[in-house]
Amino acid sequence: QGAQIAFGSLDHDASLPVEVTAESLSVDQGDGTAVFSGDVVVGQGTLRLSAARVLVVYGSGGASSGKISRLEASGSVVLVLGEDAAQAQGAVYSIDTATIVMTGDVLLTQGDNAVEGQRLTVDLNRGTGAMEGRVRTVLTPASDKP
Amino acid sequence: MRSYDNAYSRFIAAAKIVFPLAALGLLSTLFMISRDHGSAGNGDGLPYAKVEIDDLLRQQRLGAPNYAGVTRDGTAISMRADSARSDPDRPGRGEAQAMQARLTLPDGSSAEIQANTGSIDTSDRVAVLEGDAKISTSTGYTIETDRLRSAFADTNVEADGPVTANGPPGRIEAGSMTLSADPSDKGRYLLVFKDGVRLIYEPEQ
Repeated sequence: QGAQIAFGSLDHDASLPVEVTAESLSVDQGDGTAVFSGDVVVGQGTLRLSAARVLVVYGSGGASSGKISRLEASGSVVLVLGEDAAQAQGAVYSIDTATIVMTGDVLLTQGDNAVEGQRLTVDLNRGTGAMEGRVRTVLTPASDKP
Repeated sequence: MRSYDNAYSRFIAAAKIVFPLAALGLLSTLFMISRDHGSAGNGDGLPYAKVEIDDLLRQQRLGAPNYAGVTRDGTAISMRADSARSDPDRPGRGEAQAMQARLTLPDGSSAEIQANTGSIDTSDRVAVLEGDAKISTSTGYTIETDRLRSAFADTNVEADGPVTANGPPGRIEAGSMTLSADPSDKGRYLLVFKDGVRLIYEPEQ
């Protein structure tokens, strides 16, 4: 079963420039594959996606088209959007469709509430997140707060 | 000599003597009057003007030198420059102007390098290219830096200063850059931007 969650703010602009910082970027001269590695941070507007390794996947026109279809992040991935955060083993950020799919022991935290599952699909334009796969929600009642 | 009654036979008899002599004369001009070179002919047949020859001699300069070789791992390197001269106080070192190099790597990719000046050190088998050094790779990356080194023995192009580049993913700034074989997989060649990389990608909506 899935849980629909409001995730992040509604004013995410998918046409903003995407900035990727990392320790290194290596490009295979044979087929042009580009991989960022070493505390990689993908930023766009208020979105921050950090991971150990990010693979650049180009659109249908291939590398020469210069259009990036998606960024595949792996290795302790953390997504921060506004004051919501989610962590998982892997994430795929499709820039054109402005969606992020996080997979593998996903833990989403909003304030004191936490939701666990296997797969989180975030729609940046609509500001929603759908968690699927053995979803467990942990709500901390207001009175227990220290 | 028999006399003939008609003009035609007389003409033929005379021709039998005159023509061979004329032929002999023509043939002899082939050897005796040789073509004189230069003095009357035009002077611009020579590729170098006199002043440039003195210049070349005084500076021991090479006009349009080029180098071609293959590295141990099979990359073909060809280098050429407008001019080069040997470094008088350091044997084995040469300075070159407007240096250009082209690398054709075994994985089918290639890279063109150019710079204002270049110095070649044949003892440690490295070419240092300086001054608006530019590299353009067949994978669509154009990289600009101040100084880079290109080895002759194996495939290793390295810029240790900051580099800026444009490529398929967008605009890239990095602390340094290398183009060399992948240590873990010899057949693969990697263009690596290191020491902090920043990429800006503009998604055109």
